[in-house]
Amino acid sequence: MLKFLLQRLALAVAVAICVSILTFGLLGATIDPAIAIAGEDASAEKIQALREAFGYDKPLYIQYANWFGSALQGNLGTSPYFGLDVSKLIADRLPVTMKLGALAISFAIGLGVPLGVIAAIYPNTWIDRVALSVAVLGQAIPNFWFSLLLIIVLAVQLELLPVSGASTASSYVMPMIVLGTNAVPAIMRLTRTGMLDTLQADFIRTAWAKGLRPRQVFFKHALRNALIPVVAVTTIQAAHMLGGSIVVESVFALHGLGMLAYESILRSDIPTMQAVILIFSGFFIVFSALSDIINAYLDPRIRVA
Amino acid sequence: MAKLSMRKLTSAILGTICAAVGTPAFAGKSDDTLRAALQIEIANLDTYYDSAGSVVVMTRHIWDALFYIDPETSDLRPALAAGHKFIDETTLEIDLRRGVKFHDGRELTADDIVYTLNWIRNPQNKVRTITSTDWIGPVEKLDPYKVRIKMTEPTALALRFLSVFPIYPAGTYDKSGIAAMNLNPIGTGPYRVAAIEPGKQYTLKRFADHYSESPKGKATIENVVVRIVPEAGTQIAEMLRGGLDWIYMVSSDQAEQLKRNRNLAVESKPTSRMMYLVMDAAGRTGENSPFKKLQVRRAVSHAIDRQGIVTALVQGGAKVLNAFCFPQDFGCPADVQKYEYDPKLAKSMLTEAGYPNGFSVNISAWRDRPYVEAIMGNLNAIGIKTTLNYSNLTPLRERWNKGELPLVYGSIGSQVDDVGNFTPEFFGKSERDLARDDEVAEWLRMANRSSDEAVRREFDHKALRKVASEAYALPLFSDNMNFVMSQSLSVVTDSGGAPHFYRAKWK
Repeated sequence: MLKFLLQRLALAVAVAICVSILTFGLLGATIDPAIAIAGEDASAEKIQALREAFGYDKPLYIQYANWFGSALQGNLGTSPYFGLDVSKLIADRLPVTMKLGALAISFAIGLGVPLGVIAAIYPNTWIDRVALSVAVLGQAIPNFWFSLLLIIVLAVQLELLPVSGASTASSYVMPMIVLGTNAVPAIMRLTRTGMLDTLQADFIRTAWAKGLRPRQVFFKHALRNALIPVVAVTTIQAAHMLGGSIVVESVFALHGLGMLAYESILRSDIPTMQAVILIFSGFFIVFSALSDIINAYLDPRIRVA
Repeated sequence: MAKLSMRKLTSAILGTICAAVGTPAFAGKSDDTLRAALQIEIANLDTYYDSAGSVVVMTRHIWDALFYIDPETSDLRPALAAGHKFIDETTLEIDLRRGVKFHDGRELTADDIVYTLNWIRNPQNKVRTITSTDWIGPVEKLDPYKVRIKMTEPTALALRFLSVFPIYPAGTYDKSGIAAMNLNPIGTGPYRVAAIEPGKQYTLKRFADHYSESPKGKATIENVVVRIVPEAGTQIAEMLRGGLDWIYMVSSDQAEQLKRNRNLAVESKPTSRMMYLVMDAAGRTGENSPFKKLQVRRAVSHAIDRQGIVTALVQGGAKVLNAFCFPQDFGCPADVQKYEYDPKLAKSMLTEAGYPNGFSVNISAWRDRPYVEAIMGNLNAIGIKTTLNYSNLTPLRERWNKGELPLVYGSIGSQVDDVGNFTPEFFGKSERDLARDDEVAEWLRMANRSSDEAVRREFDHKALRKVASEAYALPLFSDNMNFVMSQSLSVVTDSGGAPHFYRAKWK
């Protein structure tokens, strides 16, 4: 197991370095931050002066080497806009995104698993169809559109929730629903498939033969086994929640990491973009590794392989 | 296009509910607090390090400058300066107003002016204001209330430029660097910052000690809360719910829908941002550039149905422009050659120029795609087959500077209500100049070196009249800005469409 963990760690570091090189290369090849900093109406002289002042006129590999050297020492650079360390900016914004991500994945599990179980208990019935339709609809509606619909109904018409902001706990309800709904179909389908497979297994037939009550058979015996793949998928979905909340944070004015990413892209704030992309990819790397480790723990065949 | 459709769908839903939503509980008037939203996030409240429009709005409330451009008349008036005198064409002496207090109680002196202006003129400080600072030479203190500014070259717009540079207390950047004013903003403006959540929300409170001679006057509303709400749909929902009293940059279709709500006031106003089309008259893209021929440039100018685009797409208070400037700007001539929409004439001009079957050309743009597509439709109709090169500003600007773009759609705003702030960039032999007309460039240089307004006006007019007659560039139309506010509120906005809340009033 230790060897497996070390392998995963080495792979994670390699992926992180590749992501940083790729990001730096793509940003450097496509963006002249001096033009973005100077603004639409700035003169050519002003732009050139800023280019030289910020060192954007140096070759890309030198800019990357400087950045990488600093990053190794824990310094992700300074945002030319905020005038603050990028690590501080991220530390300020991360709690909102983490809170939103945790709530959203909880919502997705809370809705997806019961829907999957019900659909498996009543396969190919109208209940199954309704459960599937709810899940598919949730994934099909664009986040932006769904967010505005919720705002109009729950905040403007019914006045049950605040329209935007993060000042109260209730401010997170609508963003949680929108973001969480995206993950429901995957969790629901896997739960349903897992339950259907498990319910065919010999040990379930034995459980029925022993005269156990349906609740015990479904939830104590079947669901525990059916959830093994769901756990793995949920960890990946959690990474999606943390990295994919740009639209939701923007619509609900939550000012988390997603908003920071969006704004830094608009401003061509390269140090912030570089760090945020690294953090987002870090989420995927960590959660993918976590998913592998959980799977390995639950299923010894993966460890051996 | 998908975004547009989504917006239209949103508008439709919002429109439907506008009439249905009951009276919003606008809290603003009852607690004398104006709640406004801005779309663009504020990275740094320091305008020297963040030139975003939201920062420009905040700056004028928290800080004052030496001079002030009146938002309603565009007149230049002294603010922190009590008077000024040009000693020679590159030396300016300024007397300061006495008794002006910063928000922390300190008195404004010459040290603050010297510190601020010397800071922003130093390239090592990496200041990134849109307005040029290159013209500022050494600034020295003559006595506690008098400073001398040496200019690197004669600069006619010096006083107007000084109206957009807020004055900071001496030593501002010593401790926290460029984050100083973002963390602890201190100015002499009509509002002080009472609470701050950087990038999210700013609570301003009327500054009781704001100097009485200020051209901004005493702020009428006690508190202003400015929130950053990026999505227009969310802002509108907040307005309908009563959580906000004022928003701007509302799209025309959404503004139209909101007019149905009797509790909201919707205003439309043309802004000083001008949309334009620039043609490669100098042949920088190659000797065979069709735009080298005057008849081709004039054909393009006659081919575009500018009024049609304004009516159908821009809407609101937008106006077709004839001179390459906004009419309210200093130096903008009214009597220039006009190009009426006449596709038949345009087609015959193309034939005369040797292009009876038209030609193919790329049109480059970084904004306003629907307008650009309408222009392409007009050009295609007379045989000019256009291909859209739609991209971010950054790569387009680089290619434009290198002379690789034959036809460019863009927009420009003067910032200081004077044509001298942007015309040299287009026609003064800069990297962006696609006309390369020696005479026009020299006239603009003469205008920008003189401190005599009559001389400046004469040269600006001569230059822009020739730009029009030679059709080097086609001014299209002014931009339109839609404002939505509670019925009980009145807000003054400037020619750029930005709000001046210190002049806002409850009705």
